[in-house]
Amino acid sequence: MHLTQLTATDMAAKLRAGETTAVELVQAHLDEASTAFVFINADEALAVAAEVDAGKYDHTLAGVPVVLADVLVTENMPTAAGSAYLDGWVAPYEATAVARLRAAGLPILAKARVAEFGMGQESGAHEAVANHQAPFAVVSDTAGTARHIATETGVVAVKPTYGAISRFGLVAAVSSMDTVTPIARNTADAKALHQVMVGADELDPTSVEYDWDFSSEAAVAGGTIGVLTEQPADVTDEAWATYQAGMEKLQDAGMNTTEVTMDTLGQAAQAAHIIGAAEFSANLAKFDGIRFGNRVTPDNGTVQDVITASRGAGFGYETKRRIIVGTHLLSAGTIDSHFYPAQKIRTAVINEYNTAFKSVDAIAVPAGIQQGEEYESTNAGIGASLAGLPAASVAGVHICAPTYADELVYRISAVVETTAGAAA
Amino acid sequence: MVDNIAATAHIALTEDERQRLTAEFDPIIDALVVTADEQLPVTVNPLPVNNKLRADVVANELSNEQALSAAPESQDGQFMVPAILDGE
Repeated sequence: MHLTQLTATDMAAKLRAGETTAVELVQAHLDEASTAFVFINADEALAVAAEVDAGKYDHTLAGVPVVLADVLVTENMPTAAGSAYLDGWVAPYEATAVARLRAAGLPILAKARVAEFGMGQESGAHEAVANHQAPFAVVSDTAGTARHIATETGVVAVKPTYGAISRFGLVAAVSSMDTVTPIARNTADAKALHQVMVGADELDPTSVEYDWDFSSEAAVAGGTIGVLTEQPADVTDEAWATYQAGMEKLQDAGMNTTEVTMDTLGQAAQAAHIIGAAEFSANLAKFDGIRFGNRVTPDNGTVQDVITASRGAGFGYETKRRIIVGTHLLSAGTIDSHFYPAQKIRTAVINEYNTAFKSVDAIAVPAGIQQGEEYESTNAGIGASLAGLPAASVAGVHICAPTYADELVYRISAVVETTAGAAA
Repeated sequence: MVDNIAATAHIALTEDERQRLTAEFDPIIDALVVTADEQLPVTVNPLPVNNKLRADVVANELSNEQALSAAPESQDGQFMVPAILDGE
């Protein structure tokens, strides 16, 4: 079998068994590189691989190549976050998640294409993993988009509990929802990547202190999963059949199923758009052409003119629109009519999940839910993002569980992915 | 409306962008309406934030060269920024 067809876990096993080398693994993937990537880190990845082959690293995944969405800042590689505004920028510091990957000896193959500031349906990282250009990748998931794209590309995305993986060095879009998220072709690989990055970080004040344990081999039998029993209007027959197949797998594995309805989720999408635009507008204030972003200096311009011209030239239209909408939502009057009510809806969503989790261990819905365009859009994962829950998108099923139950999400995901059609 | 907010947000719009956003703005705001129970508290962060502090010691230092590496302009080891006072 060609090296790129293996799972990350199998690549690591072959490396340990001496059946391949890290250099061979990196080169095999570099040979498949495509326009999914905006920067290919060939020389450095091969140099790290050679160090792995020389025995420098002892981590299980050392030598297995990884790709980063271009919203994670990296030393020695450009970070543009999909924006012309950051074209050519090389950060003088590195994201904690990236530093941990490097410390474990994972060669970084490339930075992958993203929508501007990660806000959109475009993801070169998902493409690359689906097309065997990398065994796994690290992306950002803000309001479920990375999990939704996972469904469309046939890969597994597992958003951690909010704060489980440091956001330091992730170009911030919506700080209260952004998560650094592993994606892979199967659950085991996503879990292995997650474990390299997880853990508190003094550079991220929202990172959580928790004694993570991913070693459980416990069966899911005896647990209870909340499910939908009626096909929602926004789920196609095909997506519903895939979902039901996943639920049968869980039942076959001994999980009890019980119907769960979440009334507050009807307003979750609007709340997420409001909070999202507001936080986005505040986060992007630092892109002023002074601290971050390419500078445009009008003749005889004041500092305010420099900022306005730089932001005008640097941001794309959708980013400008989101910032202007967000600025409006935080203005006197609108903050009371829109923003604070959205934050209260967020509380209602969290309360409803907490109530549900008194009777179920996790909740599974069809992952393919998506309706509406732009500011009227929704997806299966928005509620979990608002509530900070760990959540997986796997084989057409979206699974979420209480905060800190990331390990349970992985165990359920591993059962679901055994359905026909799940990615190899 | 759009012009005022764009000015607040310090964003220059081209004429095309201004026209497009003027047409799109009200429908977006109209779509973003929620009705919440007034009695509920607001949620700012999904998990409790515990004011995580680190020891007050110098760490993760950038060298002067690193700090200036991406600066559009620098002089004498310092950032060059636009004047904020006339003639200064």
